[in-house]
Amino acid sequence: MTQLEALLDRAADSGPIRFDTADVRRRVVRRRRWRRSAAAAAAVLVLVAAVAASARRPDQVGQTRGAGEPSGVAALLGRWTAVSITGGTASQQLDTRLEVLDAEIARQQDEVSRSQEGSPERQAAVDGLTDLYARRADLQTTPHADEYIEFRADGTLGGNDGCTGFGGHWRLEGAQLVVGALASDGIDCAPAFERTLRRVLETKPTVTPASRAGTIVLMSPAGTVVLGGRDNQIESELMADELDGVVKVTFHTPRSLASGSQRTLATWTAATSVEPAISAWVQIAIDGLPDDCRLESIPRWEELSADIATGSWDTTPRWDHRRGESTGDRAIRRDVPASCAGSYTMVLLLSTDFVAAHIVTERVPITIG
Amino acid sequence: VNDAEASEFCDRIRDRLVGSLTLTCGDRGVAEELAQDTLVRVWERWSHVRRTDSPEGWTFRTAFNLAGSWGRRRSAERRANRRSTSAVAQPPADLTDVEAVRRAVSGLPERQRAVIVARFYLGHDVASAAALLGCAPGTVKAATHQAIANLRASGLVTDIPEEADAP
Repeated sequence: MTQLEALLDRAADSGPIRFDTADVRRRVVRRRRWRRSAAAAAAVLVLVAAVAASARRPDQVGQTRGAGEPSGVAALLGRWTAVSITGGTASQQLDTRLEVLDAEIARQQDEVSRSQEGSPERQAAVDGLTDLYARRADLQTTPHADEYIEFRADGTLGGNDGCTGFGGHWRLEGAQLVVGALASDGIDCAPAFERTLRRVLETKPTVTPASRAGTIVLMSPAGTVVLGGRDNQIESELMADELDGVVKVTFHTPRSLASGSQRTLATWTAATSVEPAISAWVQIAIDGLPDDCRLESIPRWEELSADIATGSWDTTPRWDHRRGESTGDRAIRRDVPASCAGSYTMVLLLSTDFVAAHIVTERVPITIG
Repeated sequence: VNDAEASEFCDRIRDRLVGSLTLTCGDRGVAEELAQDTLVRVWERWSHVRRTDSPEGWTFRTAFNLAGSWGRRRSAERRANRRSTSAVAQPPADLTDVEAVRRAVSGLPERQRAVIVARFYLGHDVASAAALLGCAPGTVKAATHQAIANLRASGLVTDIPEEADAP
């Protein structure tokens, strides 16, 4: 044995291996089970989102009478470039479409079993089944539009009900939010969110500052709707290879940040539709940082984007779903020197799986002062 | 039958797989995670893998690909850290320190790393290493030569058989 072989033997051996074939088998079984219930997993995700939304609203509404908070709604709105409301029915629409397809698949499977082996009818039925499976896979893996409405500081608004986009104008009359006629892009696809939103907005809801900084509340006879806040809130969702699962990450980033020690550049909450059989990584990069600004472990976007463009995407595993908890809050805190002052774009990245990974990127403004 | 065969194959290959990935990544925890990922893929595709010329080769190529992707992920962090901290002189390699050996091997370029592991840890000759890694024997020879030159430069190895180092 050569010196090199002896060295490698010693370096490769670190005592007992902490997994065995039974662990591998369990993971295989779990992934098979997941594939069989991918639609159910999507429904779980909707449930998670719905529970999270319903859990958030009463809390924030309860704080609307808090003391020492911003008093002028107009002044409060003046600090924003835009605020958004996100809806919750796009995934439900997806789920409904999946159910319809599943019923068609079941009928087609019957068709295949009834037809005679080797007959043209059998071939046609199999082709039909293949097409249905392909449509189902497309439906599951094609990102559906998030439902949202965004109120912009220039008085315009825009949104998507999960299928069709719409836009219009808004203004404040005192504390009342007045929204003009909404124009949609005309796609006919049951715009439930838009209809709901119209009903809420037509009541001219009252805008109230909440005690939570940067949050306002729309009070209406139909209920209470929470408008985002001064911070950016970005929701990203992706599906891993081979239907491993869906990961949804919500980023919160400040729009402005004072320099100093251990400033919070971003926090996030993550949820997955399956038990940690899936890994997800989140990372932030900043576009346009001056050379003399050093933020530990935060890459410049120009470096990272070049790697992504060439396919050798380099994201840092800031949070590994598989190794960490299945859900939880995380934060990136860094010392921010005064030399970093300026306005930049922060790029938030979400990725999953080691091979053929998908990357979702979102861009938000940030000012360091 | 497929599950039983896959299970037996995974059992047989597990230790060498973890060892190879430990050298490739320089981190035992990551190596175990990547090895599990690899074996799950092998198991799920066993009906295909078992019909390939070399199920073992398929497995190690998958593992080295996974390790390569993991390494690329890490590089951004390393670059950012280098930018934010001043350069620190590396201490000379210590032959008794397994961490130093892992660092030296895992610091090699991807192809060289795979070749070193295939030849000097898994014990393949040039031809079978080429089959294992899915490349030409000439590529294996060249990568071996370059890898050994790099390891010599790091002071880690001094005693390499002449034929192993032949370009």
